[in-house]
Amino acid sequence: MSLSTHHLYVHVPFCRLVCAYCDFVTVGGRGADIASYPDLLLAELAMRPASGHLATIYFGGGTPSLLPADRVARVVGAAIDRWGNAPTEVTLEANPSSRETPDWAGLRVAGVNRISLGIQSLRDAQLQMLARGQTADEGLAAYAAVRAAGFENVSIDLIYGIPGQSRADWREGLNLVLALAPEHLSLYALQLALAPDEWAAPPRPGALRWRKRMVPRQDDGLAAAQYELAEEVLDAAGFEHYELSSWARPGFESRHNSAYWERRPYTGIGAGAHSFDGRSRSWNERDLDAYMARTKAGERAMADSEQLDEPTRAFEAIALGLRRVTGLSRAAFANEFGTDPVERFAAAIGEGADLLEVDHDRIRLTTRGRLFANEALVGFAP
Amino acid sequence: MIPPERTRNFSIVAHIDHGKSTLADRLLEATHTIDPRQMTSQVLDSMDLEREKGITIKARAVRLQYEAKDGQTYALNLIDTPGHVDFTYEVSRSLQACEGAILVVDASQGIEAQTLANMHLAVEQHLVIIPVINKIDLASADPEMVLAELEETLAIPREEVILASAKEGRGIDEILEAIVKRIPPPSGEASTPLQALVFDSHYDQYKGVVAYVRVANGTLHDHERIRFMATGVETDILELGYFRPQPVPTRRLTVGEVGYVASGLKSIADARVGDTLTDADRPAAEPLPGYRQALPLVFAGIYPMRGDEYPLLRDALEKLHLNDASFVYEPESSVALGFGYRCGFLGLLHMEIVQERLEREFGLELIASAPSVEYRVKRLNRADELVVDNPAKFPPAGEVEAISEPWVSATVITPTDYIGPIMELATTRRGDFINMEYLDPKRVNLHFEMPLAELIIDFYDQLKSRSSGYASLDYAYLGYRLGELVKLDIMVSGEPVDALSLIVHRSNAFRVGKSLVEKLKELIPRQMFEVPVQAAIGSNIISRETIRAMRKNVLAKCYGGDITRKRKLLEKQKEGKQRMKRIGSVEIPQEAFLAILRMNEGQ
Ligand SMILES: Nc1nc2c(ncn2[C@@H]2O[C@H](COP(=O)(O)OP(=O)(O)OP(=O)(O)O)[C@@H](O)[C@H]2O)c(=O)[nH]1
Ligand code: SF4
Ligand SMILES: [Mg+2]
Repeated sequence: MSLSTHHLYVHVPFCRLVCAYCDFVTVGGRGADIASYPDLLLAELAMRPASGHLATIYFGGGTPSLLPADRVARVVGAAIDRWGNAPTEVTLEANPSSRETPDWAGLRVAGVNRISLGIQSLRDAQLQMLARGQTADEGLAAYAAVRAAGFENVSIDLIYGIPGQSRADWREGLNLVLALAPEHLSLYALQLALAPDEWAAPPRPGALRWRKRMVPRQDDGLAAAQYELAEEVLDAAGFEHYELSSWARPGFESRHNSAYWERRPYTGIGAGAHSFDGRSRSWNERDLDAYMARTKAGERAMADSEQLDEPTRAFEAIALGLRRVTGLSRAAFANEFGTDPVERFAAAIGEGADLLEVDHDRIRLTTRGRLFANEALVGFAP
Repeated sequence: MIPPERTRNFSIVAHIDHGKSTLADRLLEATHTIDPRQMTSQVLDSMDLEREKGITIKARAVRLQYEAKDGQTYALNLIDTPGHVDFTYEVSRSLQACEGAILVVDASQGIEAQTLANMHLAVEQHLVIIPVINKIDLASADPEMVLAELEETLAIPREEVILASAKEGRGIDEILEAIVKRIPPPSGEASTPLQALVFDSHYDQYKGVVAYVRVANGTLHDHERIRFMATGVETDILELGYFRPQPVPTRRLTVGEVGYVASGLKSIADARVGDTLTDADRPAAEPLPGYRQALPLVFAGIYPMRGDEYPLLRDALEKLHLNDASFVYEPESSVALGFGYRCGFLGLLHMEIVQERLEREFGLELIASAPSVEYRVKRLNRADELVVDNPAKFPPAGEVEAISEPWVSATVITPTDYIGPIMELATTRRGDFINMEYLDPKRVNLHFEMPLAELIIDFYDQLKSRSSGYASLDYAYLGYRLGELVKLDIMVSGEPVDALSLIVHRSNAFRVGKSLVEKLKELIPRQMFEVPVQAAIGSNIISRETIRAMRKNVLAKCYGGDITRKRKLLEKQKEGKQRMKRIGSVEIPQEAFLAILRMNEGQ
C-alpha cells in the first residue's frame, strides 16, 4: 500500500430492533427512512474531497444488511467514480435475521467481497440475555447463505462476558463457530460498566436500567479467563491473533480496520461517521434527523472536529499501535515524532512493568497487558 | 459632646434567630443612625456569609444618638452579638463593655438554651437586664407563656418585660426609653490614667489592627502614643473613632465611651482581645481584668485538594486569622492528604465558617479531616502528658497508659414529649444525666455531662431530628476526664491511612471500624491486585474486607473509526489518576476520602 491510500467508511444507522447493550449510532423502527438514506450518502460523498487511492470500503452500522443490494451498488459505484479506482476490500456488516434476508448474490455483484456477520452467540439463552432479536438458527442459516452466495472472506462477531455464560459455554461456542470455518473472528467482551460520568449521560439512555441490572451479574474474572481461553483455542485452530479483539487466518486481516490502527486517512459518511485526514478528526451528527436534514439542505452534516496536536498524535500512535499484537515499531515512531518512544515515555513504560514488553525494534502488550490495555495505555496520555 | 452621664452601653443577647439583629435594625432606624436609603434587613450582618446564612457571626458595635422623652440627647452604644453557641465567647466579651443587656426572647419559642446561657453571663457581670419578648406579631406567639417562663425560670417580674415586634417596629420606643431609664451610665474617672478594654478587633489593610475598645477610665486622644499592657507593644494612634455603623473618626473617646482605635499594627498578636490600652506616657498601674483566651475545642486537618495550592492556603490562613484570632493553625502533613494545616475551632459552626471563608474568599478547594478533640495521653513510665489533637499522631497503643478527653456540660431545653428520645440519645453518646428542671408544665431543661467528642459528631442534628426541631442545645467546657478510648486505624493493603485514624470509645470501636471498612470497600476502585481493607486497634484487626482484584480492563473496539471517544476516556482516566492519593501501591481517588470524611461527620 502506498502512503496515499485512502479508506471509506459508510455508516448505516438502522436496526430492526435495538439490542439492549447497544451503544452504537443506530435507531430502530425507522424502516421508512432506509430507502431514502442511500441518496443522502451519495449526496455527502459528492461533497467530500476524495484524494489518494481508495483501498477499502466498510459498510458498518447499525445493520447495513438492511440496505437493498442495488443501493449498496450505487454507493460503491459512486465511490469508485469519485476516487477513480476500485477498492480491494469492500466489507458489509450483516445481522442474521430470517425476516429480511439480504440479497447476498446481489451484494456480491455490487462489489462487496467481505461479510462481517453479527452472530454474537450460537446459544439462544445468551442471545435472549442480550435482548438481541435473533436466534442461533438464524445465525447458522445466514452464514450458510453467505457461503452459498460465494463469499470467500467472512468474519464472525462473537460476544463473551455475557452474564451467565460459563467458560465451558464459551468453549463450546468457539468450537461451533470454528466448525463453520470463517476467515476472520472478532471477539468482544460485553462492556456494560460505564465510566462514572457516562452513567450520568449514557450513550444510549434507554437501556440504562438494563445495564445497571446486568453489571453486577458480570464477572470480569470469568471474562478474562474466556479471553485467555479464546487465545488458546484459536491459536490451536490456526488463527492469528493480530489485534486485541481480532483473529484471522493468514492473509485475512481486516485491511479496513488495520487502517484505523495505522492512522491512515479515512472518510466517513453517514450519521455519526468519523473521518480522519492525518491531522484532524471530524465527525457527523449522530442524530439521524439532524444528519438527514442538513445533508438534504446541501451541507456536510459535520457535528464537530478536532485538530490533533503533537502530544495527542503521539498518544494515538501508541494507543492504536499497541492494539496490534505485534505492537508498535520504535523506528517508525521515532521517524514520525523525532524521538524513540521508549525514551519519550520512559515513565509510562516503567509503570506498565508487566503489561508492556520492549525489545530492540518494538513495544507491545504482554498477554497480561492485553487484558489490562487501559491500564497500560493510560500512562501515555498527554 | 455627650457627657458620660448621658451615655448608655448595652448588648443585645438572645438565643440564635430570636431577632437580635432585626431589633438592632429598628433601633438604628428609630434613632436616624442610618440613612433609610442604605437600610437593609439585619444591616449589621455585613459579612457575606452572615447575610447568606442569616446569622450573626461577629459582634458589631454601633453608636446611636437618641433624643429621649426627657428632652435630653443620649449616646447609646449598641453591640449586636451572635446567638450561636460557638460564639458565646464573643457575647461574654461584648458584655464586659456594657452596663446593660437587652435579652430578647422569641414569643413563640420561649426560653431556649442560649437564652439561659446569655442570661447567666449577663447576671455574672452584674448587668441590668431589659427583657424583651419579640415576634409578638406571629400567629403562633404566646407572650403569656413566655412571661410565665421568664418569671419562673429567671425570676424576671412580668412588669419589666417589654412586648415587641422587631419586624413591625412595635415596642421600639419603649425599649429605647428603658435603655435610658434602667441602664446606669458608665462609672469611671475621666482624670485618672487611661484604661481601655480591647473587646474585639479586626484587620484593615491600610489601618492595621483596629481594636474595638471601651474606655473604662481616662480619655483616649487622637494620635497619642498608646501601649497594649499585656504585650507591652507601643504605637501611635492612626485614627480614633466610633461606628455608625461605618467608622466615623473623632478627636477623643472619653470614659464610658465605646469606639475603635486604628493602631497601624500588622500583627493581631500585638493587640490582643482582652488586653488593656493605656497612655504610653502616663500608664495606668494595673490592667483591667481581661478575658480568658477562647479555647479551641474542635480540631481538624485542612488540606488543599491540589498539592500545589499549599502556599495559597498558608497565605489565606494568615489573612483570615488577622480577622478571626479565635482559630489556631499549625502546619501538618499526612501521607494520604499531603501538606496542610491542623486547625482548632470554637465549634463545628466555626469550623464550617472558617472553611467556607477560605474556600470562597480565597478561592481554594479544600479537604478537611473529620473533626476531633484534643486528647491528653499519659504514657507508661513518663511523667509528662502528651497533648494530641490529631488521631494520627497518637503514640502506639503499647505505650499508652491512660487517655483523657474533654467533657462538657450540656443543657437541652425541650418540650416534655421528647424527653425519652433525647435521654436515649445522650446515653448512647456516653452522656451522664445530671438533672431536669421544668420551665413550665410543657417544657423542661435537661442537664447532661458528656464527652465533647460525642457532641461534635452530629449530636446537634440528631437532637433536632429526635425533637422535631424543638430542642435547643447549649454547652460549656468542663474539664478533662479519663476515658476508655482507643485509636482506630484504617489500613489499606496493610498500610495505615493516617487521615482516617479515629479515636473512639472502646465500646464503639467495632461498629465504627466495620462501617468504615465497608464504605471504603465500596469507594476504592478495584486495582490490578487484591486489596485488603482493615480496621485495627494496635495490632488487633477488628474488621476486614477485601476488594477483589480487577481481572481485565480493555476498551471495546474503536467502532467505525471513532478513536476520539476512547482516547478521551483514557485522557480523563489519566487526569483522575493524577488526583489520586497513593497509599502504598493502592491508588485512592480523592472522592473516596471526601466521602469517608463526610461520613465520619455523621457517624
Ligand atoms: N415575625 C417576626 N419575625 C422576626 C421578628 N424579628 C426577627 N424576625 C425574623 O427572625 C429571623 C431571625 O432574625 P435575626 O434578627 O437575624 O435574629 P438574630 O437573633 O440576630 O440571629 P443570630 O444573630 O443568628 O443569633 C429573621 O428571619 C427575622 O426576619 C419579629 O418581630 N417578627
Ligand atoms: S445490531 Fe448492533 S448496532 Fe444494531 S442494535 Fe444491535 S448492537 Fe446495536
Ligand atoms: Mg443576629
